[in-house]
Formats: sequence, C-alpha cells, structure tokens
Amino acid sequence: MINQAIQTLELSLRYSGQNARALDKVSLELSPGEIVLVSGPTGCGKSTLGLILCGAIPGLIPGMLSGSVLLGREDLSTLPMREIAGVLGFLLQNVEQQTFTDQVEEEIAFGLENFCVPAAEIPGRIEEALALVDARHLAGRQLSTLSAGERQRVMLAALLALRQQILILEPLAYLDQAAQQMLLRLLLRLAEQGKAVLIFEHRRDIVHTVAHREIYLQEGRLAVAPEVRASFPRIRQRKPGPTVLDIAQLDFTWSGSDQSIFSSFSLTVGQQESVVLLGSNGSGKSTLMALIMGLLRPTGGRITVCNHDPAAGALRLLARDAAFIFQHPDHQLFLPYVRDEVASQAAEPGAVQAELADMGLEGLEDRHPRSLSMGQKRRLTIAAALARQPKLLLLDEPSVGQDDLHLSRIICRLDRFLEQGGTLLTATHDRRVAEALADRIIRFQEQTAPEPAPCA
Amino acid sequence: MIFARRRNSPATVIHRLHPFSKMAAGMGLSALALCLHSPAALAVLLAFVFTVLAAARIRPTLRQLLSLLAFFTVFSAVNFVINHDPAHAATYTLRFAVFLTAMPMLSLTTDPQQLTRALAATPLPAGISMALLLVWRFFPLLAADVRQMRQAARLRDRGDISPARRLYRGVLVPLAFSVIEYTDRVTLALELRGFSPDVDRTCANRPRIGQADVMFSLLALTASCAAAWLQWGVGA
Repeated sequence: MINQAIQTLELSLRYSGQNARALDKVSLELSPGEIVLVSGPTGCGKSTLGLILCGAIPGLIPGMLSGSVLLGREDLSTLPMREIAGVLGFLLQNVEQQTFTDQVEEEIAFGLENFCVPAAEIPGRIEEALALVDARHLAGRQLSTLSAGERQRVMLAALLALRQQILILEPLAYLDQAAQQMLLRLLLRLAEQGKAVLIFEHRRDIVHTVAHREIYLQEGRLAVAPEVRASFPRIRQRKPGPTVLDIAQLDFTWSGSDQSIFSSFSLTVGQQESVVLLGSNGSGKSTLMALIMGLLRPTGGRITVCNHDPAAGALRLLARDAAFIFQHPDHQLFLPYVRDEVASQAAEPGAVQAELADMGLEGLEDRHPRSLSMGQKRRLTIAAALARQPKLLLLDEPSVGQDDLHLSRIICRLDRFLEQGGTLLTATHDRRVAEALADRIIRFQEQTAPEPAPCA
Repeated sequence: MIFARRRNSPATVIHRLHPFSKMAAGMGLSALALCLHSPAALAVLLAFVFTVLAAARIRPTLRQLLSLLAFFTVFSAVNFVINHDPAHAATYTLRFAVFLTAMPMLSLTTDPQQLTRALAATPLPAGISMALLLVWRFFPLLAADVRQMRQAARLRDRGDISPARRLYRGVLVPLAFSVIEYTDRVTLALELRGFSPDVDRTCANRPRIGQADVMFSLLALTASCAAAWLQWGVGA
C-alpha cells in the first residue's frame, strides 16, 4: 500500500532526437496535505515533469531519463502505470482527448469501473464527485454539449471520484473565474484531508492564494521565481474610426435546441477599437466569433464584417480582411516549419522574422509547429494571423497557455496592431486580459448552465 | 467542439432497448431481405424499419432525404435498364434500402458505452470491447477535427493555392497528425484512468433485457412473418 507523497532526486530527461535536456537535475518533494505550484515560462518542462511523475515517461513516451522518482517509499520505475494511477491522478490540459464516453455520469464511472469499484457503490461516488466540483447541474448532460470549462470540471470530478492520494492538475486554463475560485477552495479542502496536490499553472497570481510553496522551472532547471505581475501593460485608448463590424438584432439557436444563444444582440465596433467579450464558460463568446466569420449561420438578424456579409458565404473575401484565431491552435497549423507557417500568410516577406520575434519564437524557426508547447503554438497562430495584416482580428482566449512575460508581449504587439489601423475583438474569461486589452468590455451571461453554488 | 452542432440525444424507448435486441432485429431483417424477392414483402420490412427509426425520433434533413431519393432513383433506373423488368428493379431497390436502414436501428440509437457494457457481459475479452468503444468514439472526434481543419483552411485561403493542394496541406496533413496524436493521447489517458485489458472491470449500469425488448422482438418477428406470408403464403 502506497500512502505517501512524491519525491524526485536529480531528475533529468532528454527526449530522443533532441540535444537539449527537457529537464535538468530537478529535485523536489511533495508531502501529504501540501499544495505546490509548479510554474515557469511555456516550454520550460512542466508537462514533461508531470508525465514522468505519472509514469508515462519512460513507460509510454521514450526518453533518456536519469535520477529517480519515489512514490512513497517505492521507486516509481518499478511500478506499473495502473498501480501508480491508483494513487496518483493526473488531469491533462487537453480534456478533449481524455474522455471515453459521451455522457457525464458514464465518464465519471469509467475510472471507477477500471478500478473494480463495486457497481452498487458507483452512483454514490459519482454524485459525491459532481458535488465536489459544483457540477451537479451537469448530470445527465452529453459531453458534446458542454463548454471546454464545463468538460474540464467533469474530468476533475472523474479524477476525484477515484479518491487518489496525489493529484497533479493542469486545470485552470479553460476555467472561468467562478470555476477557478471553486477549484481553489476545493484544493484547500483536499489538502486538509491529507491529499498532496501539484498544480501546473501559468496563472501564478491565482494559485498563490492557496499554494503552500512554488517550484519555478526555467529551461528545464529549478530557478528562483520572479515576482508575480500584478497587472499588464494596457493598450492605449484611441478614438474609434469607421465601423468595421456591425451586428444588428442577431438571433441564434443551435439546431435541435429550443434555448436561444443570442436574441436581438447588437454590437458595433469601429476601426482601431478593441472590444473584449468577457464571460464564463459556455456563455456564447466563441459562438459569436464563429457567426462573425461565417462558420455558423445566424437564425435572425444581420452581420456586416469589413463590408462583407458572412452569411452570404463569400468566406474567401471575408478571410482577406478578417483573421480568426481559434481557442485550440492545433487545427490552424499546417506546414512543416514554424517559419513557413508565418511566411505562407505574410503580406510582406520581411514580416516573418519580425512577427516571430515579437511573439518570442525566435530560434524556433526550423522546428515543426506540432513539436511546440501549447503556449508557443498559440503565439505562432497569432504571429501568422498578424503577418497577414488583417483589418479585423478575432482572438479567442489569448491567455491560455501563456506565462506573464509572453502575455505581456502579446498585449504589446496587439497594441501596435491597433496603432497600425487594425481592429480587435477578443473573447476571454480572463479578467486581466480584459482589463489590459479592452477599450470596451461586453459582458456575457451564462447561457447553458446556472452559476455554480458556493462550496459548503 | 464549440462549432459542432449541439444537441441532446432524445432518450426514446428505442434508445433504451438492449443493444443485442436491436442488433438481432437488424441482422434478422437483413438476412430475411436476402431471401425475399417480392416487392410487397420487402416493403413491409422497410416500413417496420422506418417506423422504428421514426419512433427513435431520427429525422433526416430535407437535403439528406433528397439525396437518398436521388440515389435510389438512379439505382432503380440502372436496374431497370439492365433487366427491363420493373418488378425486378423494385425488388433490388427495396432490398438495398432494407440493408441500408436495418443496422442503423442499432448504430443511431445506441451509445458506444451502452454497447460496450452489453459486450462486457459476454465472454469477449475486455480489450476487444474497449477497442470497439475507442474506434466508435474516434469517428465523431475525427469528424469534428476535420470540420475544424476545413474551417481553418477556408479561413486562410487567399485563392493562391489549388483546391487539391489546400485539401492536402489544410486537411490531410493535419489529420494524419491528429490521428497519431489521438492514439498517443488515448493510450496515455487509458493508463491514467487505470484501464488494463488484462484486469477485470466492474459495470455500473449493465443493460438488461426487459419487457420493451420482448415487445420489440415480437413486433420485429410479426413484421418478418407478415413479409414471409406475402412472399410464400399469398400465392401458394
């Protein structure tokens, strides 16, 4: 029986085919009842550390590993992953690929069934786990109808239902403020119950309120954590020019649903204006962006984007003037090299290096885009979009996967984009981003689920 | 996926039937359709299947209906041109329609998890039923991925590359990566959730044969008997 926390000694890892070490002599300890924040710039080795701690490296992912990891008193390398999973739960950043069923309760039951929890006990464990993450209102829902944040909550419930002693989480990226606060209160309660929690997160300001200490990684090594940024540079206020985006009396309802997402919604955005859509998970921000770009058709009303009607289907004409950066960058990366991704979109050849430098991607030009970290991929899609010099830029959740330094860089580059005559529409649940980027904030209310109830 | 059409599956009595009842009915009707050569008898089977699909609230869109109509019109016409016999053309068309619609009675109304749970009650190894679940789950994910990739490709299309190149670069290459990543991620996620093909699992909600299943099977049998009577009883 393993019931103690985890310890690494001089842990180093080099992925096959790469010269640099992803981790370099990292020693750390996590005790029962402790919440430890692991932070650092994007690509610093946080995810690699998590994969080693759960036994996936070198069990599933090859790499040259040295040093040791102790789970309780046992050497992790001697334990099968299933045994590790009985003690240590790991919530990955991309919840999309961790789900095996299409219904909330079924998904939570999946892990319980794998660990042979008696069938009669499972419904109670599901209810308890949903209550812990304030997601009882999601019971009975299909996973495909949930927002990214709601899905993340369900996956967290699936983890908590297993009652593991150690939790490793990458959970805040897609959670709105209410869900983040709920999660942090929950982590405190779990720590009081003696569970050890390791949380990988860029939002250091939020996690500092509950973490007992912080481990900062830089280029795979332990380093001294810099001060947390209290605020970000703010874009300069400008007087809006002629209308670039005009939404009039917009109605939208998903096919097969009787719940309206937008009803008589109107919005006008002028040139050089930066408007932020601020709202919780599932409130319809991304849906509005898809409607603006003609990827969805409104059920009523009219949208005009740079004098184009997206509903008319002339997407190629619209795409010349407007660029849309998706929430998940993977679908927007096509080419074999980072340089090519930007060059294929650039209006001027000289823009490629400048945009990569602005996004902190210099030195990565010859890497395959898919080999980048999530935050780097996101910045690459922003660089490619800006290189096109669009009149209107739609940006969905720009802070996901970004550390403070790179988020500042993005904000500064967007300020220059506005200065050059661009117009910006950003969807986010991150208040810091909203305050830094907004000339005007449009608040979105929850559409698909009620606000979570406060923790008992 | 945020751009996927959102819907909640309607939980009709057909959805709640045991997967094996629907599977048996689908296979039985398909096998019987192979033996029948009377258009009237085949029409009875088709009517039963349509009734079941309607009870499950599966309603094709107008576009799908028109596409099906066009397809079957061409299919009948080709049969007629080859054989110069309208009865023969009708038989083949109806038989093909039964084949196309009988098994969707199962696939369109059964969650993969429900089928896995039913299979778990058989002596089939857990690894096989799990593989079935993953494959079943893989296609909707893949479809959603392809939809987003096509959207992304369209959004960056400036008209300077050919459609074939756009398809290759914008959809096929990312899709290949997506499939490989999916395989890696699923393996990792399965291990993290404690799945092992060599270890027994419990089952939270094993489907059971109920009264509705008996009733459904009797109705399927009645439709089959009616079709058989039209084929062999009326003229005999």
